[in-house]
Amino acid sequence: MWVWAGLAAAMVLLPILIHLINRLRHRRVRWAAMEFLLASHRKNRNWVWLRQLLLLLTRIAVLLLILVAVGQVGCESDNMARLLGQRITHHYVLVDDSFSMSDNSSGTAAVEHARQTLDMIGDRIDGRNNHRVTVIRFSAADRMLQAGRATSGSSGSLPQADLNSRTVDRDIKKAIRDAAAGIEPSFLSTRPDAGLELVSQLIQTRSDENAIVYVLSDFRTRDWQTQTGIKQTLAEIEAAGAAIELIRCADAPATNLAITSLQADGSVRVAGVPLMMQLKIRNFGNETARKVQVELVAAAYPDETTLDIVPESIEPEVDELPTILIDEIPAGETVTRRFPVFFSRPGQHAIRAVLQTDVVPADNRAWTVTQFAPAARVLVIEGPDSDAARFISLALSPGGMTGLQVETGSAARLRDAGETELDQYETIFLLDVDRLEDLAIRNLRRYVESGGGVIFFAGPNCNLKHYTVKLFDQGRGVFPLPLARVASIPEPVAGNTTDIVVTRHPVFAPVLDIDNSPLDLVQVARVCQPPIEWSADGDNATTVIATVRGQAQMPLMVEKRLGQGRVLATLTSASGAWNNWLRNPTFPATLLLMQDHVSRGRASGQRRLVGSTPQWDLSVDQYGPDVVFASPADDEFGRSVWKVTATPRADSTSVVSARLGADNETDRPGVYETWLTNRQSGRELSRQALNVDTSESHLQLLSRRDLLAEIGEVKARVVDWDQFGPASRGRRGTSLVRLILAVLIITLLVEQLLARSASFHPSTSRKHRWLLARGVSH
Amino acid sequence: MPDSKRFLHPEAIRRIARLEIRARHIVEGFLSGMHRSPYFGQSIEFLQHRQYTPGDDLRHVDWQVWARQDRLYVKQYEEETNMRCHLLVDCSGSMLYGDGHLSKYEYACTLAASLAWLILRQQDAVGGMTFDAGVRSRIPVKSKRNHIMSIVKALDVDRPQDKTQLFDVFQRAAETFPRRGMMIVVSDLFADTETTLKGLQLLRQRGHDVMVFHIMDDDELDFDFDGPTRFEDLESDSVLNCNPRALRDGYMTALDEFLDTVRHGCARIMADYALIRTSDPLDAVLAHYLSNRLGMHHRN
Repeated sequence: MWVWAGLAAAMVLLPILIHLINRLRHRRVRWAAMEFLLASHRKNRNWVWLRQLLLLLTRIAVLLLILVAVGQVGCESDNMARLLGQRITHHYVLVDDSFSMSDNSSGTAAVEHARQTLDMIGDRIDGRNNHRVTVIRFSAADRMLQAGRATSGSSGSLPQADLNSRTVDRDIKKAIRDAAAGIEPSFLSTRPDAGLELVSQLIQTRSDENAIVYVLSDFRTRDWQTQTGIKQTLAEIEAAGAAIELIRCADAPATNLAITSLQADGSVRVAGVPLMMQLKIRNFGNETARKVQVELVAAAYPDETTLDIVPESIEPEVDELPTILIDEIPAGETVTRRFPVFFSRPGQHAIRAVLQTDVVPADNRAWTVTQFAPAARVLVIEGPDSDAARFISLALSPGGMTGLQVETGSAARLRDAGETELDQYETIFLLDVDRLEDLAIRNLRRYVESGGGVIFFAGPNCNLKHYTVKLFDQGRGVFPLPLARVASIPEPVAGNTTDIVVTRHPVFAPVLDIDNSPLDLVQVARVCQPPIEWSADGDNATTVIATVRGQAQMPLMVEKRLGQGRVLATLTSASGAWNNWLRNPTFPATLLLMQDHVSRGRASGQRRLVGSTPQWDLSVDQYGPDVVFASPADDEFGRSVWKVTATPRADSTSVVSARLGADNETDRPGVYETWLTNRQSGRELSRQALNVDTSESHLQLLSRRDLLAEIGEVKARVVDWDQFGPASRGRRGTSLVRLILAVLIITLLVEQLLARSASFHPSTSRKHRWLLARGVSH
Repeated sequence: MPDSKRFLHPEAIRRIARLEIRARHIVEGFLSGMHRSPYFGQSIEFLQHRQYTPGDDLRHVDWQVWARQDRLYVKQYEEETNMRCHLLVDCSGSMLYGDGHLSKYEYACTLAASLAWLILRQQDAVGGMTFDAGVRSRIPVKSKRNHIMSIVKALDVDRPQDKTQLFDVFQRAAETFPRRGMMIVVSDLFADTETTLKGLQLLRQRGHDVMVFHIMDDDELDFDFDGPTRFEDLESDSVLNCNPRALRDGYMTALDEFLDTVRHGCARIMADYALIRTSDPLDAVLAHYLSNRLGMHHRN
């Protein structure tokens, strides 16, 4: 910029300097007929001055026009640019490879449009030797940025770029075509932020280059609307002097269905016991989807502890489950279906759901892995009333059908438990326990925070003050509320006989929306009550899920979430001391649901996404450094297996780390395995499922006008892929050069006329020829 | 061009350093180019016979008539009056201008010397003066052949300078040369035109024939200059930086007006006027003089 400004200033000053130099270099003539000359000068002085001024201005304009024309030609002609020492022009092409680019609503996938646009960019820069091109996918940019390689990339190393600062030569079109052919939609949901941020860093680092940034994307609403980060990054790129071209590669989307959730619906995951699974399918389109089929497959893996099983040869037993048929899914709605799965042997088994093919295939498949234990262990801490423990045990495991294995013990069991001993239990019941020792409270708290579930039942032996001070501990403890007193529930009056008033909570699912529910027959005589002023409204972690009849709506059951675990406090007894619920048919079902509910903290069903990089920090005392990873291959349940050695952590000498996905191994949805070497128990397997991020399934496009509005004041060219011509810039530049040349010619003609008018043209008179021939000067 | 004429061109004349040689060369070259001079020997013309009366000079008796008729007659001739020619040569600073060949001053001196040589060859008397703002030197009117040396010496001015005041000069000439004769003015006339013409009229009123040789350089008449030029006045400190072609039209207009004024003024007072370019061959000027000289006979 400064060079051109300097040249422009020189072009303006040059004629003036020539004029001044000519005034100094004039010919000197000692003249006799001065009187006539002075008379002519007096007469023509103003007109001569005006013509000379006009001539000077015209000549300045001519030089400036020449400068502009040369500059324009320099922009278009690389040979000229090289002669002028012009900067290299770097073309940064960012290609969206998120799975929404596989949208083939119009019959051709958006990524194919991106490939064709990339070819056109190749045509555009072909033969421009002073140019370079870099092609980066969104996903690669995201990984490089996360890996902190942007700075090293600025020095020329972009390890995951499809083309890295490729100098334009005779093979550039082939190179770009090959790069385009290698671009496939990933299973990732990568936003444009990382790519733009990476390019912004590169442009700012390479300040000696001109830059043009092409963004080839589908420009979905979810990615580009109200994204202040993108707007800011684009503004930074523009401020760095780069031109921005946003090329829309997607056509109007059709209806897209996606499996948004596949997870176990129950917490009791025991081999030999059916487990209900929950499947959610969402219609992301604008029209109702009808006759939707979902194919289900259960994959039972062999026992990994068997000695002859090695990671490379492991194969699941695949069992096709009945297909789910959904009549219709309204536009924008999510439909939930439940189905049972049954695995006869314990282990980490997988379930896969596959939707019928639609415009985006990637989100039509979902996997989940569930750990099926030999049995679900439940610990019941009994108080002085051992009948309650027996009733509870019977209700939880009637004949072993529920898969729960109930153990009973005293409060000392909590105190004496080792660090991880309590973690073996899905749920811990505390029935009318008087008080807990501090160590027991700490163990219980740690158990809950790590995902365990605890259910309190009050009773006449509860020490209310201890519960308030030690267990509630001003809201920091495991108990959900403070207790003030034991209250008696008055006799029911006519028309209001329901003692337990429930909310819409999963625990009460069987009795919700049922007239004449058996739960209405439960009579509660006494409950522990919190102070009058207590309220759960200000605490997001605490919820009252059932109250006792009466105007005061005193709480009966209160839930609290602590860490990853859940606590449920029932303020009446589990035995018949304070109520008759024990004899009500709703008690076993509600008890099982309570156990199921609080134990979900450990199996939260968190959906792991492709592209994530789970890390294992291994104690060197417990684990060997060799780790085996297995990732899904192209076929359904195929696998790729590789071994790594855990690397020591910088902050600890006793822990080594192994990371899965550091080299893009987790970019494919499916079932992944991690085999650790436990020094005591041998091999240790962790199997997990990774699925696509269905937020990418929203295919709504941002219109061109809305896109321009989103990027605000950033000056970017927004164009559809089919409007992106390979020679449009060249044509525009050529027409501009022609216009400049036309103006230049006109200005030159005006200059000639002015020069002739001002008598600056050489004379062809006899006298002049005589002087020229003899070189005579005065 | 005959060889004799070729050496009359100013470029050739310039190579002759000494003015008297230059003048002789010109005149002899000019005369040798004429096959028969109608003017040569015409200064003594026979008019009629008259009967002798005592007291007449016996040298004028026509003895051939006495021998045939025995009567004494004397020959009567047209009055043998030597023409008095006065050369008024401008030596002002403006006469210093010249480009390529002779300067105006050199041309004027050569012309004056040539005229003087020619006049002396015709037995006429010639004198004159050189002038700028005033009279620089005065040359007495004589008809001896060696008078040419005095004339040449008077014309040899170290360096022309100063402005011209022609009226004063002409007035002084009229007083200096009271006898009627021919006043030949050789000048560029770069002075106040009105007073110049008044001076010429004064000479005419004193009975002089006036012949004006207006010497101008080609540059002054054509003004073919190009490129940025700094013009410095030869007679003053005036300076003008200009593009000459831009001023040419105005210059030519002013010059034409000057020349017209001079030409018409001379015609009005019946003074002969000739605009001479310093590039013109000198024989043409001499021819112009002789034709004018013949005309003067008729006019008188």
